Amino acid sequence: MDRRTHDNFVERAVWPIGRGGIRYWIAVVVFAALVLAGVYAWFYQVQRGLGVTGLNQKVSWGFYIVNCVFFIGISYGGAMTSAILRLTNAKWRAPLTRLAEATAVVALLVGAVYPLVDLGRPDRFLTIFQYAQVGSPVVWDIVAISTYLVASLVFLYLPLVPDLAVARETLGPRMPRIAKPIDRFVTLGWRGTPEQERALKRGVGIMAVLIIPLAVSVHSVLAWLFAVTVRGQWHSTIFAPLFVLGAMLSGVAAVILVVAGFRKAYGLGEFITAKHFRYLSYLLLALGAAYVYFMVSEYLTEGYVMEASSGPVLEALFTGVYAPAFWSFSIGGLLLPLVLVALPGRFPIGRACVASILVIAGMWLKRFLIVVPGMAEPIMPWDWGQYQPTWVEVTITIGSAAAIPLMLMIFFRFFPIMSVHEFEEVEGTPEPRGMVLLTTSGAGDD
Amino acid sequence: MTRAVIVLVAAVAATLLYVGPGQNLLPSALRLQAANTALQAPHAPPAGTEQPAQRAAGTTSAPAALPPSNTSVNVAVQPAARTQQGYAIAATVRASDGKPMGEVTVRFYETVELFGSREMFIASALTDGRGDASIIYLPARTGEHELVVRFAGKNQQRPALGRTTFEASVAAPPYRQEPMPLSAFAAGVPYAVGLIVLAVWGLIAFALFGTARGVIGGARSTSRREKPA
Amino acid sequence: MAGEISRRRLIGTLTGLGTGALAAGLVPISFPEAEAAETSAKPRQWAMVIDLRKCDGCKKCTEACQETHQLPKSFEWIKVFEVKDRQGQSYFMPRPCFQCENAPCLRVCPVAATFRATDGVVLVDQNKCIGCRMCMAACPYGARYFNYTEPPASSHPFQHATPEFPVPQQKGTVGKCMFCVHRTEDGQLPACVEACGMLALWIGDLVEDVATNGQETVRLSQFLKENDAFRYKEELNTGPRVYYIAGHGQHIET
Repeated sequence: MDRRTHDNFVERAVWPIGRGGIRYWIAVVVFAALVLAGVYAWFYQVQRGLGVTGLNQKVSWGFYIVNCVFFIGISYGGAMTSAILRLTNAKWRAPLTRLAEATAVVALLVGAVYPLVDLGRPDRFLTIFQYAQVGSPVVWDIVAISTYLVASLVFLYLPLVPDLAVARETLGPRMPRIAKPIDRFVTLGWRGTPEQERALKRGVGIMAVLIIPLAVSVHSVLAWLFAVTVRGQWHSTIFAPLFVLGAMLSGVAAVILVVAGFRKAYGLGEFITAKHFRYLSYLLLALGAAYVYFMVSEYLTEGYVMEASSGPVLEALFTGVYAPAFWSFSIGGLLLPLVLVALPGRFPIGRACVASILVIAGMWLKRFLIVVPGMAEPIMPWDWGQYQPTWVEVTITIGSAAAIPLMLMIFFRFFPIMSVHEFEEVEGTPEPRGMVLLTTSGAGDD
Repeated sequence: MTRAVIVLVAAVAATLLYVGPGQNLLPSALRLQAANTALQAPHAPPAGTEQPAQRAAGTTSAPAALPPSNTSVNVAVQPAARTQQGYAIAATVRASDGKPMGEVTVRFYETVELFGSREMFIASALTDGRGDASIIYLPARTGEHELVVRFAGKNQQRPALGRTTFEASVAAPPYRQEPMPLSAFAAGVPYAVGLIVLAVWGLIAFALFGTARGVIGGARSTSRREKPA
Repeated sequence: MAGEISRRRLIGTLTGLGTGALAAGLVPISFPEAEAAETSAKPRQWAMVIDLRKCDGCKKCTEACQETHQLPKSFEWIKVFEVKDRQGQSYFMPRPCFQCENAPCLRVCPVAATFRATDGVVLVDQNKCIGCRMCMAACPYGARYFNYTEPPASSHPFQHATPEFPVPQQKGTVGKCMFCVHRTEDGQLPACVEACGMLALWIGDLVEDVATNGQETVRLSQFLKENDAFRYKEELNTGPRVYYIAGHGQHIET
């Protein structure tokens, strides 16, 4: 890789560090305000009890569980882009991995808060660790999420080690004062020696392999929260694969949006090009098509028999109370975006972004359509349940969604936005500065 | 003379007490044929109704006593011919004149302690020409059981009941909860998974601390930043 | 110096006490299994039989339960459903908690706040419940009720709630019918059984094989067999302890 490209890359990667213009601060203030509103709504709820939500005796799970599944699903973008693309040696992943992995960690943090928000007695949360019942899906959930969170943090951190050394070198005095002591601890004295490279490569390789089954396990466990009950719509064997696939789909869509947003805001256009968005769109397409297949399989199996346990929900989804939401999701949130990215043509980035917004909104709707009709469906000879979310639930949802860009913006104020080390790994290390190559052959040069 | 009168009165009194209508004035230990008691009881409502146990929480609900009746119901329990079947409970109903009463219904109960003392209905049977009715009864548990057999009364014959207790050495199989299939296997699965989780955490720790150690250690190496071959 | 020695001793004693208190605080105090062993002297396994021929839908059982446990009107631990069968006839079906032998709610509770007493009744320890409501999702009969708001204050201010008598309820925890074990251990009929004017509710013991509705007493297994008793949604294999006697000619939809 020639030196100029490498240096440009490094410069763009560290450019946001310590730098914040007026637009940056406006954005931060706006997001922070939304997050604080969400936090206030939560305190309001803790004080008065869950009665301030729209939950009732029939529909006892609502927005909070939907959001938990949704945000943890978004975090799968990291596993997909960083881990799977690394293992398949897709070279185009290099500028994206930092953004994807950071999004994954941030989304996971937001998603992992939701079980706590949903508890009737959050003050007793720690007793789960004291009394943990190994047969309970809730305990499986805690174990899986915490393991995945730690693994994601480690997977985010390890490639940061060389990058921070590069940032320190490049930025010099511009390095934010707060970051300096942390950075010395974090970079562990990285100098790029072969031993260090070997150690790092081994560590990152282990995590890349490990994070994929961990990611699969987290959403499978979330799916089993529903599937091990006997409610007709939930008690389906396809739930775990369906949830995992849906998470990957929404994760890739989130990565597309985050990458597009930060590319625009921080001028990464030289390295994150239309090609990246095209490839990400192909990923979106493949995952979306697979998701359609899973849904067809689920509804065909249930619908052909229409037994009493699952028939009524199917009816409600297709033609009943939930039909508008269901068809919005199926057509607007799944088929339309897939068509949008499948067709060749111009504006690959724009189309990818529009498709991603539709997919993300659609996947939130889908989670809603899994949780709420499943709870509202009459399991006894009574009427369908009703669920009317209140301002508390909506505010917390919006606040938690705003927390993701907020945390990302704060994160990239201190850490490089693109992974220099990964770029070097993929493109080859740069030529040494100031050296003139005397040999004539190009390939095989050291 | 006076002595003779006293002896005569005493003799008549004794006769009345022991064999006559005055029998119920004696404590039960002194009565004849204590095992087959024919109880005298105050007047009861019209025939055809059993006296149901009082439905009151916590109060002892002894059956209401029956009218003085000359009908007698004798109950006897025979050891079971085939133990799986249970115990043969036989009851005989005799009219006031001692003649057996055929073609009448008798109802068999057991005394139980369930929110007070109650009589649990077991079965009803029709007496044959000899006034005998019998059922086979396999109790739910071993130990002592008290049975009550009631005759509701017919025509001029008043209702009556007979009691007996017996010791059961065989009983119906006790209530067993069916274990879930695969429960033994299922109980072990979480622990197997727990081992896997521990292994994963170990791997993560190795990836993190192993790399850290490698990086810190490699920093001491004198070789500069080289391009890999 | 005498003063110094006593000061040292004082500090040592306080440290010891503090450590002891800390250690004691870490030990979970409630031992529900031990408490449950005292619920009945006899080895009972409680069951209920509900005679659907007799229920007239008056809901006195629901009212009695609410009064006994000081519940708000929305909490119907025994709930009377009006069911219309295909012939257009309607009948009434009271549904208490079925105290399942293979209870889904028990399986999924992360902190074992829901547990089974020795007499087969499924109890909820509201001091342990974290309010995750997984049990409510898992119960196929909708028999569990969550305290979304502060429950009505108890009429007895010094009442101490136990799993056997969870009065008053706690906000943010779940509650349900517990076959009135606080009454049955005292030799009293459950509130609903006593209140039923049609004598449609029976409380029984599977061990002694006997059941009573307060007036009549029957041999439980015989009673069930003779009347073709069934259990609701039996195919789910939850093992309910409540049996229903269908009306003759009535259509029971499960």
